[in-house]
Amino acid sequence: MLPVAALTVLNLSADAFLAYAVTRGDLAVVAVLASLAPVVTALLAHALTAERPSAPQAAGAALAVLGTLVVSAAQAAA
Amino acid sequence: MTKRVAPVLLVLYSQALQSVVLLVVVMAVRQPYSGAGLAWGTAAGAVGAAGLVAYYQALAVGQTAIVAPLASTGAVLPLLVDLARGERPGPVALGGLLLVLGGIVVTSLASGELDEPAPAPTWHGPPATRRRVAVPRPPVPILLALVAAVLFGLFFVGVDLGGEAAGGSVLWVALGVQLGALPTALTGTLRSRAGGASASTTGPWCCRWPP
Repeated sequence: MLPVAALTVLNLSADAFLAYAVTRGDLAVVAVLASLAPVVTALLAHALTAERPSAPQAAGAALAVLGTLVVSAAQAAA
Repeated sequence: MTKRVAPVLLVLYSQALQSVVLLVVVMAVRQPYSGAGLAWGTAAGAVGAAGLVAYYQALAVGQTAIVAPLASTGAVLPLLVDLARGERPGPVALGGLLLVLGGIVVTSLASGELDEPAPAPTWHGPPATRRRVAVPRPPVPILLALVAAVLFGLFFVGVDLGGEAAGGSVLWVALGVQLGALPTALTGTLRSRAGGASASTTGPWCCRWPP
């Protein structure tokens, strides 16, 4: 049951931190930082798994994240 | 550690536990009840959970470092909704949207499975069949990640509408999200119980929810 507890705590803390950040912080900054989550996921996957995407694949994924980041920043600033 | 609990059970238990914790928090904070907020949250939760199923499958069959960024592009869906409603987003937002679309296309092409492998060139020059165009089709993990992205995007739209409807009672929206996701987690558990070791039990055992 340890993974259940860990997953619950991680999920709820992430929600709580995000909610706190959105209410207290600059929304444009929060939106950009929050959209960086898949970067953390990709880095963890690189560190913990043997998966190695090709350079074009990584470039495409990076482009998608960058675009999401730009849209988040623009929407939050609007 | 991951072998002891089936992933679907883990999600179900965690989901149920989060619902209970949120219910307690909602009661303790005493936010005024918002039926509309709860309803929008529940709808968003159901859609988001469906997106999570697609996301799990994408992660199970594809590379995490590719699937996670693509699934996260769902955050731009509200912008597409704005566009569809006739609103004119700023140039920066539109530029970001183009970057996202470009990234999806590049990743899809880079991961495309060729229906017909091109013949290798020889020392005597390129093969005669060189100009026959092999038709690339996007691989399953990419498609699943994009389905997840769309569903996650709809989740954001639902939460946004719920937040507007609930006014200050956002915790009721959050509770709705957890409750709306419960049936999907329950169905996944029952299906994996009925079908023995299904594909879903080989998936990753944890991921961020809500996305």
